[in-house]
Amino acid sequence: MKGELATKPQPAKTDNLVLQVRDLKTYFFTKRGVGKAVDGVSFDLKQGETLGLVGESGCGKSMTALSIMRLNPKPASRIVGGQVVFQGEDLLQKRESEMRRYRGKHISIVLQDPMTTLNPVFTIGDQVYESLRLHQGLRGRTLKERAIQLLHMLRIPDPGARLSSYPYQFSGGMRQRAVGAIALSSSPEILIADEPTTALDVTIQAAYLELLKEIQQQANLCIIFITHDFGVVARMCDRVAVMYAGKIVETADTKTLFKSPAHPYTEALLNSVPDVKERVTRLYSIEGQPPPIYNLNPGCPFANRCPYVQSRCWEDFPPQKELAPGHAVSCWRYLE
Amino acid sequence: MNSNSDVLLEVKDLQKHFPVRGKLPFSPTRAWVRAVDGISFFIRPQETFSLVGESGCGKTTTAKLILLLEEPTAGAIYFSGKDIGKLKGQDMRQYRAAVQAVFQDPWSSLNPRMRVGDIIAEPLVVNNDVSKSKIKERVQELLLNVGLEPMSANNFPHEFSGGQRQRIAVARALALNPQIVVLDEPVSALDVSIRAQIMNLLKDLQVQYGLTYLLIAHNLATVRYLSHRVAVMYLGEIVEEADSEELFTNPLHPYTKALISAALPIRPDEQTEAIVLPTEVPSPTRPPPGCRFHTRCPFAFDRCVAEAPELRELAPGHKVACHLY
Repeated sequence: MKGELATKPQPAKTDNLVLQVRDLKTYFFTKRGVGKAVDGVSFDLKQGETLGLVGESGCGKSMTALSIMRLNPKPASRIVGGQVVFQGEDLLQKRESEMRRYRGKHISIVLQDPMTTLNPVFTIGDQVYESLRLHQGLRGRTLKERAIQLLHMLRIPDPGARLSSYPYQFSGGMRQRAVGAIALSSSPEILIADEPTTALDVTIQAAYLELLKEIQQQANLCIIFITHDFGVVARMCDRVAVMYAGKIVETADTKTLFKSPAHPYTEALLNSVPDVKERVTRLYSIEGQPPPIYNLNPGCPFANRCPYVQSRCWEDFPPQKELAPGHAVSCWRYLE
Repeated sequence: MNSNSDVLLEVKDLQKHFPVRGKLPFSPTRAWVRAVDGISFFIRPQETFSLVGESGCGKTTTAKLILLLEEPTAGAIYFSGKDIGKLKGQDMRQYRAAVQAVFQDPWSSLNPRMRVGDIIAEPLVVNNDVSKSKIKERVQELLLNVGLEPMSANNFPHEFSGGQRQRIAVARALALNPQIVVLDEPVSALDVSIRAQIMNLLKDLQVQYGLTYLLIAHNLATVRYLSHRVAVMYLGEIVEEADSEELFTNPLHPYTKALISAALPIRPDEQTEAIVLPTEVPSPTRPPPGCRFHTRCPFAFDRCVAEAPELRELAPGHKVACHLY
């Protein structure tokens, strides 16, 4: 395929870790109290890998993504602690002006609904040019050529003519691919995909995911894939982190997570999802609902829905325990 | 599964075309969107019949036609043998009471300024002449049956979570003891861990009340879990229809195959190569000639462009519209 991403000189790295998130905390300060949207999240992202952040709405997966880019809503929320280490530097210590050199250039984000991400009054071309001008300093003919190359790479038919189209003239799938072109325009090291296919139809979703995988291999890109759909996780991710009420409760490589889920929440969630490939007569259902993030109890947030609950679950949040290399879980059942 | 072969609802050659007009008032019709273009199917009592397809395939329009929220361009709908287009007066009222709906988004389908008890009582007040105390009793009973506290009748919708709101919507749909409940994407707006609760509730209520469901959904796993029979729609037409298990284990139409392969299984070792369709769905204003799927079909040949395939029964109960068979 033509239009590969420009290869960027790789900075010398001691190991192949691209991003380290350590004990990240993003709290909302409101009249109702302190909302712990992200409460001590830690994970690593390795070169070329896809990490899935899975959880239900309100579990803090999107806030984690936004906090990494420091795009969390302000002044309602504040990052109150932790580190986000990218290329040896803590992004949380950067000044706002410095952050702008990272966003879109080194770390890009694709959001759920392409109709709200794209500006309806500018052409697709204008919106692709913006990032190319800002981060690559391209002008004139090279600018246009590179934009066409990018749209071509994202399989938008007739890219030259499509530059002057407006978002409303694109179908849902094409819009999301145009957003992808903008996100990948500066050959970022990390792409954060926040439910990028939730608004798309199934056949369009399948095509988009294939395309994303292909581009990832060419560009050696790391992807943080945020989703609530285990089917998407099974297809796309190398490793998975399951989030519940602002915390990561289990991390494992994808195969292990599906085969031997350790945390009761992961297990219950997997059992409550119907599968197209299987006939199920009765689904397991988790009673109750996730707790509100305001005024959380000190214990495990899943305690009120957990079938294995013990008395200490109400008192303290369990520390992380490594069951096998790369498989960590926060649950008192494994700490006896 | 139900062996009763009676037909409760039948749809014959149903069409709904929407005009596309210019921007000025009174400007002439430029084109027609063929949202539903000649579909026929039937639903047996106490079964769940599903319409599956991607956005724009006409599944919701079909539901609206059955709910009398739209008038068909052509064709007819028969309920217990009677043409509902010809119903008048009392018969019409009875039909409207017998067919109820649960919609996708419980944040917009419940009036935020009404108390839950009033929301559920509204169909009773409108349709029956019953005393206030009877209504109150019925509301309490309905709330219990959908798994909510009878006390919550005094609360407002915003005090409930998504799953609970969907339970309220179900209670309202059941208030008049309907025969058919149209479920238009009943779980797709809900959280993953809540979906199973609602799907199980719907299954239980079906048995308890002997309900017939028309399920509209795009998530194939949901459809497989809930339905007895399934019809796959593409650009306003039914391309395949079969018993649920038959359809998922032995899909025949290339579009059904693509849909099933695109629906991602939740186990990594079951991941099969998805059949990736090269292009997107064509516009329903100008559907392609011949077989409407031929522009995206990996198996298309000359005949597909020239001639539209008919929906033919290949095995008992398994119908497909494709020239390959």
